[in-house]
Amino acid sequence: MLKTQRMTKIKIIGAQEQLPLTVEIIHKLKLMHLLDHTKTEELDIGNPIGESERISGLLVKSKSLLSSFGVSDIKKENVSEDITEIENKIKKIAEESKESDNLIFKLNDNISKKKIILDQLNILKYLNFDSDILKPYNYLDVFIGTVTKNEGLESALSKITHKLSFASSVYADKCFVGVLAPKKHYNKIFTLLQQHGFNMVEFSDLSEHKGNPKEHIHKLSISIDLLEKDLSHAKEQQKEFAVENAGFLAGAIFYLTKEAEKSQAPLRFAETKYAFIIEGWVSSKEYNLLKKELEKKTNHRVHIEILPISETDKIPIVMKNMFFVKPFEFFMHLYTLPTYKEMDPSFFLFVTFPFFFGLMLGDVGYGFLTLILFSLLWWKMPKARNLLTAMMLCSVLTIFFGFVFGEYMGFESVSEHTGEFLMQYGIPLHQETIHGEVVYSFPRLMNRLHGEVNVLGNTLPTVLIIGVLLGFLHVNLGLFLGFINEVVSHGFKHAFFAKISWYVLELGVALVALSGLGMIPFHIGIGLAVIGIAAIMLFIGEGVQGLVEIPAIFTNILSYLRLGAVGLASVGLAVVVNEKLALPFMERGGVYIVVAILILILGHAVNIALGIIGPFLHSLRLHYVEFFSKFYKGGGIPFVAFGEDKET
Amino acid sequence: MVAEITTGVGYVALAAALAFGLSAIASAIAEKAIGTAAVGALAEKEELFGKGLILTVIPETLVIFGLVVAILILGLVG
Repeated sequence: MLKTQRMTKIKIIGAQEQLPLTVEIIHKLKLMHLLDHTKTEELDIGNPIGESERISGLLVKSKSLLSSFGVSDIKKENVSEDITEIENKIKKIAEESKESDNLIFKLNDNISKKKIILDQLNILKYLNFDSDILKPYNYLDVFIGTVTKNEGLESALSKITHKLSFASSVYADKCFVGVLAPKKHYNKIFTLLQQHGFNMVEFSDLSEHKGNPKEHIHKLSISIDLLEKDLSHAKEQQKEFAVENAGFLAGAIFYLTKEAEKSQAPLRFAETKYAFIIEGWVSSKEYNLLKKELEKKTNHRVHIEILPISETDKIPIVMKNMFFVKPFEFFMHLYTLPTYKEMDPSFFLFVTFPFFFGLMLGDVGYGFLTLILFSLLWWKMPKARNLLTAMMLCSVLTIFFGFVFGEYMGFESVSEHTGEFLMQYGIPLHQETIHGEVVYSFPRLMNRLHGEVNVLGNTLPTVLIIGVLLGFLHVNLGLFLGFINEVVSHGFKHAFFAKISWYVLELGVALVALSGLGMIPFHIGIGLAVIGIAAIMLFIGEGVQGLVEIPAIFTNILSYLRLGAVGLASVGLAVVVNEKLALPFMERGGVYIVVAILILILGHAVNIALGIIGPFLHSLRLHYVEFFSKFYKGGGIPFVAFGEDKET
Repeated sequence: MVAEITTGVGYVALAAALAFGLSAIASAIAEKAIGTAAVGALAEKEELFGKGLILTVIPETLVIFGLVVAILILGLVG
């Protein structure tokens, strides 16, 4: 439970002919974590087996096709395991997809060309010109284009010559003009037009649209409409095609990725001309299974041996916990995995994380609401199930502490009227008089908001004291675990000086404090001497760094004050929502009750959101910073079995 | 219950407010710098989320201490 899975380092040696089969078996069993061979003079890395290049090519092609389809929510299909069949189908899909791309491109091109002509014909129509006017004349110049200002243009033109024809019209929010005039006045007219911001229209070849533009416009509009219908039809078909084939492509990508993994695996092995060597890790309890399978399927043609584990080996980690501790492995992945020699702290997270969370949030109502919320999310988000299972346990502890504190959505008590009503249904409330008012309080073991204890003449909230006491226990548990870890990795002597010294230090500080307060009949020097011994032990165990960290242990313990403080802040906010914001409206009655209900919903929603984030982060931080720093180093690498499914 | 508010009580309330408020500002300033760096690191390497989150909430201790001190100060007036 506290140890990670024990591992065995193995070496598989065989002749080249056995390589494809060996890779196939290891890939299928998913039991082995491969070690990459680094090239040396004697042993080169291997070459890809099978049709590595063909597979990679197909993989790239199918990935690019799938991404061009832009289909979301794909259901992966099972594909046949025949590469040629897959290749043919991918080719067919690529061809059809290209065809439909081409069709859409052509239609788009055609439509845009027709639209340009339609636009030009419209200009002629608005200027009341025939399209014949555009053909070259011997004696006349034709100017058709937009101007920025139209005022006075016609009269200015008539001053140049009377022998001209002028037309102007507004089309598509632009002012168009058309001028026909004898060629000899070209320069004058052009200069004048330019002064009016003239911009000539470049007409395309309108020889197919001779005569009155009106008829052509009608015909063109109809043909554009038809083309656009074709286009939307083609796009729809393309989409249908994409949806139809996305499943196959996703399946093909999945299959090809596996094949590529297998065919490129020898790049990670050592190879000679005639033999190969595979090194890797397998969990000790599955070693025999792997060995038996390999020997059976290769007819004992490969040799498997166990290698000794050296100090420098980075052993891959598989955490091994009971099913109810499993979800808490999530927090270890979030931080860092334990190393092989260290203990896996998931179990301690399972015990204390929900406990701290519940202690901080501690409200029956909030507990049930968050439990419902996390259960819903559990159904909706299969990927986050580990975290959500852990959070559901946190909610259960929140409900538990809600009963301990007697808090229900921030209410500690109800009014006399409501109280008497609830008593009829057997709910055990007890009558109290607070500030001269009779109220009925919920049953509780301790009062979080008002409970106080007297410590050395100071009145302090009870929850804060509970927090510090828990902190003391938690940090010391951490030190004890640190002691065990050190014994395993560095021997008893080092462990004694590095970790037991902290206990001695705590004892010294306690002696100094108690004798200083006159509670024990010792001289204060005894306590100081114990602290001195602790400091020397620390120096031997952890060097100067240990001495520097002496104050840290006390701030670490005081840090657990947050167990009470965060809870007080949360219940404080709930009380404000209930009594200061909603109650005044409630008392006015009528429509104001609706307002009060809205305030309650909104206020508690905000408080629950804060109540999830706050206790979650603080509880996590107490573990990562205060608890783990006493014993946990981490830095393990995850065990990745060759052949394991990867998310694509 | 309307406690008689004397100048002394007023000062105590002010002291509590300062203890809490100033420590909150201090936390915010410290978290700002760490948070910025953490987001930067996340952009490079997403696996650092856990560590970044924890580093960011480390100065949160300041405000907790501030709250505790404020409660202690308020305890003076009962």
